[in-house]
Amino acid sequence: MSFIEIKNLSHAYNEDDHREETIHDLSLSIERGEFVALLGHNGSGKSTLAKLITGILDIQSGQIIADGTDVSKISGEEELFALRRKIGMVFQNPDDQLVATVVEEDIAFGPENLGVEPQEIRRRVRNSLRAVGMLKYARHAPHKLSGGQKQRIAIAGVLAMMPECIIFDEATAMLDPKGRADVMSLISRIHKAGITVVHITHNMNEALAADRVVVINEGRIFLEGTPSYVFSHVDELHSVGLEAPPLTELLHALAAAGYSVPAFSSGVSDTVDVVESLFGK
Amino acid sequence: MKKYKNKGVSDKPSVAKETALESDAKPSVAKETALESDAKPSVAKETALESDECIIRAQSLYYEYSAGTPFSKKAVDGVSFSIKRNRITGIIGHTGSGKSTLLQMLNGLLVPMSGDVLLDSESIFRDKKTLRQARFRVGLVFQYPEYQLFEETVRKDISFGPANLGLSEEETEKRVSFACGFTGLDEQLLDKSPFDLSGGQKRRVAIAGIIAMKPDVLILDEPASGLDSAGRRVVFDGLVNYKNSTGAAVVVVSHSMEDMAKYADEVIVMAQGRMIASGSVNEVFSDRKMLTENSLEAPVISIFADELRDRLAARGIDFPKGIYTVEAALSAITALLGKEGMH
Amino acid sequence: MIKDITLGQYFPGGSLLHRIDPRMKILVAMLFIIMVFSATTVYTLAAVTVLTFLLPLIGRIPFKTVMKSILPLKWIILIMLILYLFAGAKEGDRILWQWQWHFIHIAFSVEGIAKAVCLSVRIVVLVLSTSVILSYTTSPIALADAIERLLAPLNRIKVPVHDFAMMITIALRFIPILIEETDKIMSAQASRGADFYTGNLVKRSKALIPVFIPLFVSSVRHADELATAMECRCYRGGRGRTRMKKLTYTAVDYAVFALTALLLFAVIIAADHAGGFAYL
Repeated sequence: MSFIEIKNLSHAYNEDDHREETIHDLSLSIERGEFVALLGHNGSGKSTLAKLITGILDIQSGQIIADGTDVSKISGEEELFALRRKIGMVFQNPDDQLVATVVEEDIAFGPENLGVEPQEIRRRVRNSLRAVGMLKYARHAPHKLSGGQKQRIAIAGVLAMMPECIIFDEATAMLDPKGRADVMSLISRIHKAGITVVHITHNMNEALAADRVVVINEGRIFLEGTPSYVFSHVDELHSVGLEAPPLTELLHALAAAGYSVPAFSSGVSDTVDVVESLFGK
Repeated sequence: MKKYKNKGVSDKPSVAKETALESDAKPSVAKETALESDAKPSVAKETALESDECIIRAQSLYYEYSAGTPFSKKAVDGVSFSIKRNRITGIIGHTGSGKSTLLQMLNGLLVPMSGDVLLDSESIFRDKKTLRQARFRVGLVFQYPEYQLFEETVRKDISFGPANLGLSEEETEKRVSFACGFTGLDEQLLDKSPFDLSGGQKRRVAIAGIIAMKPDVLILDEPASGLDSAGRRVVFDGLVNYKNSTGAAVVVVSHSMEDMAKYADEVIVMAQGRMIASGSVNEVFSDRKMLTENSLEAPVISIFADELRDRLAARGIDFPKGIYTVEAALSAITALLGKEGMH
Repeated sequence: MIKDITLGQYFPGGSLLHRIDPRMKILVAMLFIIMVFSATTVYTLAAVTVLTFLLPLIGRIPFKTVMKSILPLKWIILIMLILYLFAGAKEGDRILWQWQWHFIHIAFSVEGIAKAVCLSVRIVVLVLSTSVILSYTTSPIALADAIERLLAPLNRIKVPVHDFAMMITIALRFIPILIEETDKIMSAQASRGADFYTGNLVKRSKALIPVFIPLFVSSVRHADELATAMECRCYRGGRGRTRMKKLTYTAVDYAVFALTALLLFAVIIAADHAGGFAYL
């Protein structure tokens, strides 16, 4: 059985929430250890999906089974906590995730809530900080760090809870290129360490790093497959307001102009080869 | 600091000379630049004609935070440049490079500790009147401007600026639809509460709030951050439209080299409070060494174009320089293929 | 830069005063307050004053910084001095000069002047000692934490001590963010022609509406997002929660407490046997 099984999930906000995001009869499964990118334009329903998985929003219809637990049937606090410990979340705004005024105390926040022994919390705080490369900032105040650094602290806070899966809900959207690159390489390392990663984004280049890309539009799965499969469907992506990475866009435009080129670019040198070959051997 | 361009009459020759003087080690670059400018005479003429068309001149601006304390920090240090009408000027640089501080000096929100900002050759810091005028003539859109919305309806919010200008109700109403036109806002949204809109719509309402003041200089700090590609396009197309129909100068701070390549005419590069380079997109983006030194990544298409150029040169095919966008790469490739009869 | 504001007066360091358990520091500060009030004679007050001025040395706080916190007291002290001088003299006081007109009686006496001076010294000593023991050498967060732990017994009578402490922590965390945001919103509205600095009070208060509403909306958004993030990290209040930092009193803590208690005892005894010098 998959780590997360979503079956015929539907969700709509009430009038008062003023949010048009809805989910329509969506089914999706995420395997243990997988790196899945959920791609979609603003308001496509990606974030709602994440909040349903972790039980922040109540499931209206359909079913989500996370690691064998039926999320809609969770009633007790203990069960909900077990789920949230297993599936951590990192959000968009780094400031709104840090609770304490000292970095190491913020990272301790999750384990403290779980009732972990002080000695063990200390060990986890150090390990998490080392994992995100922020060990020397342990005693710093979060508000003096850069956006990318704050986001790494937020990730360390989730890592300290020893999760099996982390959902990144547009976690790179507010960062500058440097912070974005740092967080992306951290996400890849987290995935390599065996943690299941769900990365919600509308940045194509970030989705390239995933094992599987799921394009969501109007609350439905629009396109799904490996990055090369999804991004080679450029016309389909355009129809839902998305773009493929620039080099793939170029190949697509060349194909549209009648040249026979592959539909997906895996990188600069690859594309140079392709275009050069158009000029004959 | 690298300045690719002399303000003044004979623009192009001086470029080659300056570059040549500055980088003796790279004579080929200088030659290439000279060659290239010959290839595009129309652009050169236009630049020469309009070089007096500069609306803002920043003169050795200096600003320091917490001055006089042990925590003092230079934010902007000896920065001079000019902003031209009817152009989109991009400012690039990392977080903390002083971009935001710089922007706030351009409309007088911050007073530089030394240096001056000239708006149509007059210092905006001369007196209260010139300062207030600068506020109105130089519109500044901050990052995440949707967080400044406060009125009950979108219409009222967009009207806030025009009302502060003292315009009549009728004129204000005109300004609101004027601004909606450039930001792609459906006029049906006007009577909704701004807080009921989607993130992208809120952003456009906030930008419309500044455009409704019809600024001669429109400055935006990361106007597209957090938006998806469709949202980015609407915002940038609106800016291009505004520039084209009013002849205003538009200044955009952005991290996205791709967006800069697509939309900007001129680019200013900032690092550690100093201006590292300025010039046309072509001039700045072809200076790969300067970009790498400041850990700025050139648009991926231009990296591709460079590699392809080298490869094709070996075959005796001359692939043009100055390719930064998908569209430009496409037309360059198809043109060459057509010429070579390879189709 | 507005980002560089430091909250409270905390002066990071590793001195003896910094290392004492914050709970113990609160207790020691209390003893000190009692001591200052027990020092009712010139000699004991002088002794307590000397002790107080040693504190910044022990805590390695620059004297200039400490003096800054006393400076605002000058008006209070001035008023106290005037009040005491004009309050008149008691019977048996050594009057130096007096003036009477109907009910108004002004008299300078040796005792009156001594009282006024002693009271001023006492106020200075009180502020100085508590601020050096607490605010200068303890981070606000450690203080909030210490208060939570000291008041923990109140949990049994259903006083939500943990919730208050969490509120203080979050407030401390978000104050710099909200200050920065206020600054940004004000600049943004000024760019749309808002004028916060001219006109009468009504006009100026009205001009702040475009600042307060976005700030309010933004605070609600922060609160909402933070609550979600805290929920995701399994927060449910104080129940079942452990702490990374287990505060345990060390020998030094006990020694400092014992020493302060001893000094207090000595001051009380000395004040009792002061004889003619007991002015206060």
